[in-house]
Amino acid sequence: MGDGVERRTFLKTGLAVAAGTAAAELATRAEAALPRTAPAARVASIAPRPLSPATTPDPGHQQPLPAGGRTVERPMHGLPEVVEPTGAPADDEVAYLTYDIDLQIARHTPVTGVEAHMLAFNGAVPGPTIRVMENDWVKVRFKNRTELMHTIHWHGLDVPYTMDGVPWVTQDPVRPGQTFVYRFQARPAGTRFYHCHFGTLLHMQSGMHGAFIVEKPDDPIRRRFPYTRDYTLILESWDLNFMRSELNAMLRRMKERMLLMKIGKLDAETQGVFKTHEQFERALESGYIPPYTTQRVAGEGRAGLDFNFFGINGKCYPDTEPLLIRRDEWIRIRLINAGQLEHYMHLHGHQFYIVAEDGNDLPEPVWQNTVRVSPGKTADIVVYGDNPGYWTFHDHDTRRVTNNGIYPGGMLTVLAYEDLDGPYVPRVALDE
Amino acid sequence: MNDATGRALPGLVLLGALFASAAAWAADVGADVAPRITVGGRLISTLDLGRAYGQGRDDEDTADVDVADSSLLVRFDKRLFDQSVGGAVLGLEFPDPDADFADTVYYHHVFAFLWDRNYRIELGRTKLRNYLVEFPTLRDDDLLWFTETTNGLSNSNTEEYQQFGNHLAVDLFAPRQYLAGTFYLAQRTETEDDGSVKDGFDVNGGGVQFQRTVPAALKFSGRVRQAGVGWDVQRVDVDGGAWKNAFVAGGVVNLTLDPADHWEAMAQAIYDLGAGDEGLGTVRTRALARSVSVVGAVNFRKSTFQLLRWKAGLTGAYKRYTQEGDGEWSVVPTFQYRLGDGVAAVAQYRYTGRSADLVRAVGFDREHRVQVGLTFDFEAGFNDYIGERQSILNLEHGFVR
Ligand SMILES: [Cu+2]
Repeated sequence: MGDGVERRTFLKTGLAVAAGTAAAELATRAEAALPRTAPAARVASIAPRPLSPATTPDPGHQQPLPAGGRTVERPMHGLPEVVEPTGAPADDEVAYLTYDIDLQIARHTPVTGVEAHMLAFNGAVPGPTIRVMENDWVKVRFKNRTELMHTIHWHGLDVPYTMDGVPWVTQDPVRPGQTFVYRFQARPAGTRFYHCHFGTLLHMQSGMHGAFIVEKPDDPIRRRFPYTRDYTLILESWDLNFMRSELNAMLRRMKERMLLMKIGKLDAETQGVFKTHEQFERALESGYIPPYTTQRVAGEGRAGLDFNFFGINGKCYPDTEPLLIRRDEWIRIRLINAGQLEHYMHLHGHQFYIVAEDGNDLPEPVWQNTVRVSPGKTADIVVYGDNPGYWTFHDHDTRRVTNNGIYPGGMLTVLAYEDLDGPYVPRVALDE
Repeated sequence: MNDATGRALPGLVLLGALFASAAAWAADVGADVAPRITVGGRLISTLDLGRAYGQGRDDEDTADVDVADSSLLVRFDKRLFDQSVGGAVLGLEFPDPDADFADTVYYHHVFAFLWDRNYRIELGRTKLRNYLVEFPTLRDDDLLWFTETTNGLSNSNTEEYQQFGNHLAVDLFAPRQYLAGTFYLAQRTETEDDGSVKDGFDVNGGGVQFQRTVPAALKFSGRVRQAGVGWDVQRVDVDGGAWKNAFVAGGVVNLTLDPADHWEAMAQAIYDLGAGDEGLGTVRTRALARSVSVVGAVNFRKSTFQLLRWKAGLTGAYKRYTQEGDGEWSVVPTFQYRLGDGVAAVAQYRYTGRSADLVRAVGFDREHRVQVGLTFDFEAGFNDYIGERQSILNLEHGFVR
């Protein structure tokens, strides 16, 4: 299929989904801007902290990242220092790209003036971005330097089940001080992410999420929309008060559990993990009280959430990074919802094409200006720079365009034309 | 300022006064910064059976239903402009039957406070810094005359005049080392010889304490949980005005580092130099007598799946009035079986023995007391946007305001 045919299909689709002639004109203008030749080889990827493959042979960090607080460098006596499950080819069978990720508790500033303790992959929130080509073999050496238990789940990637990172379902959680080695082939291509699957409600929002971008060698989306910049935006929602009290409570419980483990008294009831349902039932008969029952926890329990900060790549407006674009430039924006809420990302002054959902290319792009991103979903859009100015890009559920209830803030950034000399430039607005 | 308000005014009047003053300040109160509200309390109700044996007196048997020391507390915290925290505590408790105001409630906590990472300041009425160590008896005043520095200015049986008073206390912390230094000025309740509260009295004491106390969340991090020393001084009415000095030292250790079967031991000694030499005939003269008190306890806590199920403690106390050569001692086994979170069936036995002069003053040389009952403890927090100064995150991962 040649470029010409593809462009005609694209134009037709655009017309079909757009309302009114103005939109049609815009599509025509966008169409006219398409270069006749193949797109330039170089794409600038703008994503949180791109992670380079490691070159050292040993697992874990040879030079630990600076930690602000207490870390655990070695697992408790009797536990293996490195866990390497079976289910993936050995190191000498395929050529792995090796990535080192650790976890520690760090102080993070979601917005100037607000600080919170978070679970930080490689010391920051969100975690680093891993970007590979489809079918690359990937090895991630994950070192848990906190006193809590974790895993990494590769969301949307079809990995061997022993690498899926679900505690008590596909693996034991990664214990304090342990390194767990995940090995898998990166497929299918698309915008994907990773997150902790232990105590997911708390851990994932507390910072344990990062982008995992799998590219195709000759990406049809890029052939069709020759973008030169590729942005990754991770959408987040935080209840900082829930995170503070729950992280403290979890740390306290875990410190005691590690002590119990050391003296051989960490039983199934204390962990709340049973080998079989029958064992669980027998424990109930002998007096075990499950943590969710009303005699142990009341009302909404520990999960009563009241989200008060909303972020893009770890930051709330006005600390969010702007998206830069030039006139007649295509940009791609990969949206990843790593939070617990549904977001409706709306771009001012432009229509855009939704080209992929859940990382998978759509059969035909959809022409819209607001894209719904449900929890766990990703959406890729491409934007054409045909309306110079400063344009907000934000969740249109405006409860999330707030910081602690104050508008504007939260999940809002600005699409800014680099070459613009406009009569009005954005200020830093905190209160309206 | 004196103690008459809390002693005599019915609760409604005081509450009315609080609301009236709140209304007067309303213009200065913004609605934006809502306080964190913590409500807590304890209902302790025991059936007490006592038998006292006296020299030359009839034995005395008593049977009471005892709700003394049940209390209700409300605490407010607010983030301040400089990110520190300020707030207030209001608390009321039910006094012992032999208190001056046995038929009403006592406002045992009415104070304002400020705190931040490295300090805490309290101003108002609250529990005085008379001790370092808490012992595992049912009520915190069960062994009051052994466990706390006594008030040389009160001649009342009212135990609240010993435990509570107005103070200005400044605690300075070295948080990562769990160290605290405390400086306080105290206004202890002063009474006439007949035990009635004086019409007016001033700040009449002060003190200093230094201690290392491991926060509760980290209690298993080492053997020594608490160790400290203190000095208390009171300006007393002896020979037209004298200083009474007392020194306290004590601590708590983990005998096992086992959260499931946890043994702990605690001990405290108070050396009170006293003032004057007026014998042991009254509450006040006993407080003014030179004395040494030593209290020790072991406590066992049984938890299953990280829920405390029962605990048992044994506390022993001895006090010697060194000038008179008289002594008093007590042994208290305590058992608490938890029926639910914060709800326990409790039982305690207390034996007290006394020697010569003390027997003449108190009337009995041996006392037995058996208590069985129920306790209900609760704490509920609302709008917590502040956290705790000594949380694990704040202590081990950098302080966040
Ligand atoms: Cu985790």
